[in-house]
Amino acid sequence: MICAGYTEPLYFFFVSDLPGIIYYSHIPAIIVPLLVGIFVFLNDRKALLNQLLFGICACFSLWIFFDLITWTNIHSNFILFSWSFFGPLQALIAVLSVYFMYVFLTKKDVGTILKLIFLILAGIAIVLAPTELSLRGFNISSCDAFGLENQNFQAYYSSLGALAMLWILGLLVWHYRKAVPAVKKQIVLMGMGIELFLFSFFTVEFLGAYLTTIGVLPDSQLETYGYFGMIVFMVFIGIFLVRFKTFHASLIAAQALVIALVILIASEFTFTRNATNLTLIGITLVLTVIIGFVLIRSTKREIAQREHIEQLAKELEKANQQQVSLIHFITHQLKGFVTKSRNIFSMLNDGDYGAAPDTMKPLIQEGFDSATKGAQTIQEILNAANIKSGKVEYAKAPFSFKNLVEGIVQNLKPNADSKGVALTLSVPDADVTLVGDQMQMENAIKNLVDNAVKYTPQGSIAAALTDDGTTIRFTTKDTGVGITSEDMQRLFTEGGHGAESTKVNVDSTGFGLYIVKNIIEAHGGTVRAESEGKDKGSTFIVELPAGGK
Amino acid sequence: MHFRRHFLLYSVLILIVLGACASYYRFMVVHQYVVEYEADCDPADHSCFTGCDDDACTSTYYYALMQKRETDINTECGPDITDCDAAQSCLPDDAGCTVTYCEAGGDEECIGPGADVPENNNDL
Repeated sequence: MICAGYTEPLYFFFVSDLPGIIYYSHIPAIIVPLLVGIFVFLNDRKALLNQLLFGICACFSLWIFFDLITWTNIHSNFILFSWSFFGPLQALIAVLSVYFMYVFLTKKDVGTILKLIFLILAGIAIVLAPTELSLRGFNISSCDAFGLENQNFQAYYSSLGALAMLWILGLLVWHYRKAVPAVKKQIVLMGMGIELFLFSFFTVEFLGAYLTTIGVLPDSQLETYGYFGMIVFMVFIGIFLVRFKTFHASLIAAQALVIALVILIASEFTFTRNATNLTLIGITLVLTVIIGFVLIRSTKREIAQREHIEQLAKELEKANQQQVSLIHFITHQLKGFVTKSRNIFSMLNDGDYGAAPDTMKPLIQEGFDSATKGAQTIQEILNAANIKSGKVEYAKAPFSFKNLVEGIVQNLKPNADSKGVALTLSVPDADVTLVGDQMQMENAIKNLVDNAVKYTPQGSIAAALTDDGTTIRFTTKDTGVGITSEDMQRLFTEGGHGAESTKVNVDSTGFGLYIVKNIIEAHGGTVRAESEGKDKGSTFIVELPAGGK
Repeated sequence: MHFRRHFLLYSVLILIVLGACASYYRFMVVHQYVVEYEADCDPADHSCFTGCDDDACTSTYYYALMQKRETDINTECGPDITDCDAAQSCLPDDAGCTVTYCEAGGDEECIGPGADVPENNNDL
């Protein structure tokens, strides 16, 4: 039978006098989920989550496809055949949505009993669909089957949607409470997406069908607005594809954006009747495809370059680690040899093996000095390597910082005196207590004072210690070689000695200030240098929290 | 083991295929369903439903709801019942043919025997 008074569709689907919203809501709702479902499925066919998403998308697209037939066709047998799929497909969408969320949240398949429950719930709708308990007949006056569909059957598959929403909500709450923060975000996003989809699809569809059946609405056009929920769900799936790589699929944001744009523009064809508009939409579509293609290609190239750089950075990091280990190993071995030589020179110097001839004594002294410097240099490199690899542990305890500074200045004063440099120290009357690693702090302060002595060929060095109750401040102000602005940039970096420093101190390793900075920062303090430039002296300022941290 | 793991998929697929075949057979092959339509109704004789010819309801018509088996009405009128007199009443050979008239007190507006008929009624 045919519905008299309705237009026969062209190519099965196209009816000129059908409201534009029908095509605009149906065609993207068929294409978008199907494309996403196929894309996800093809990326990893064996992944259960991908299979289930494909199942939901395929069922939804089929539902919309059959719905479009009922809107456009005028043959009762075609329409009823299509109509008979609504119940089974809605039941499957509800069941698969729950199954999908189970797998998404637990990362494993469900048990046999649950599968059996799913089968029974969906099976009832599938088995009853071809019988009179589902559809009794067709109304050729209104060209639909609303009044002849069994209301109990309709209520059954619609209530499966409500059940799925509640079931999923329970699952979401349960798993959200136990999840770590990073996973919580994913649970909220996926939960929002699927609940929004189920709510809009089932609720609006039920309302549309119900209001049409009881005669409040002339047709079920209202239900078409519910399909946009699936598009929103697909956007959420897109976020998971791009951001979280949930479906083991590599989709880049540019691809997703261009595809979405093309679908949006193409869907305008469905409700535009004007020839000028059709031409403009066609041109826009072609331009979007071309620009999108270029955009995707260039983005892919950039991503490939970035991945290559990231790979290189990883390899470099690995090489650096190996280099640090090698340096550590070599310097450790060298330190043993040099220390042994120093001990031998020391014993010769002390006359443990008899008095050395006078002609030999300067040579022995030079050997001893050289071995001592060598041992110190190696120790400095070792310290820097240890700091960099995080091997240094600070044993913090309260100690007199004032005594420590006084001891260091006193020990280095002979070196300054021998160069004719005046080294002075000003300290407060009261003791200055610091909580920290005394040995490491001694290393840092000694390094600063020693540097001041080394880089001040003539003039004076004024060291000062103050404590205002909140900050302990130690400064060394010298009239030495100064620091150029270029050297200042890399002063506290690893191996970052300045060009001038090597002229004055040929034994400089460049690790001294790097070690100082790390030790001071490990105590919650700061260190900085000030200089007006070359040959204008320099000031080093250490600030530490009073009482220590 | 393979079937046990995928029994849900296989069971659903089998059910869907069987269900689709059964639907196809019922609706496309044997046409075993009822067709409902608005048949002519004379308010002078029966209580009729009222319908509008357009959205603004500038003119109305009266009808009764007729149900016939698709096979019966197809034999009597062919695929289109427009201008088919046999569609307007239940014939002796029609099994399960029903005519539903408007019942007073329901949601529908009824025009019964003896009621005034509007002047713009074109169908009478």
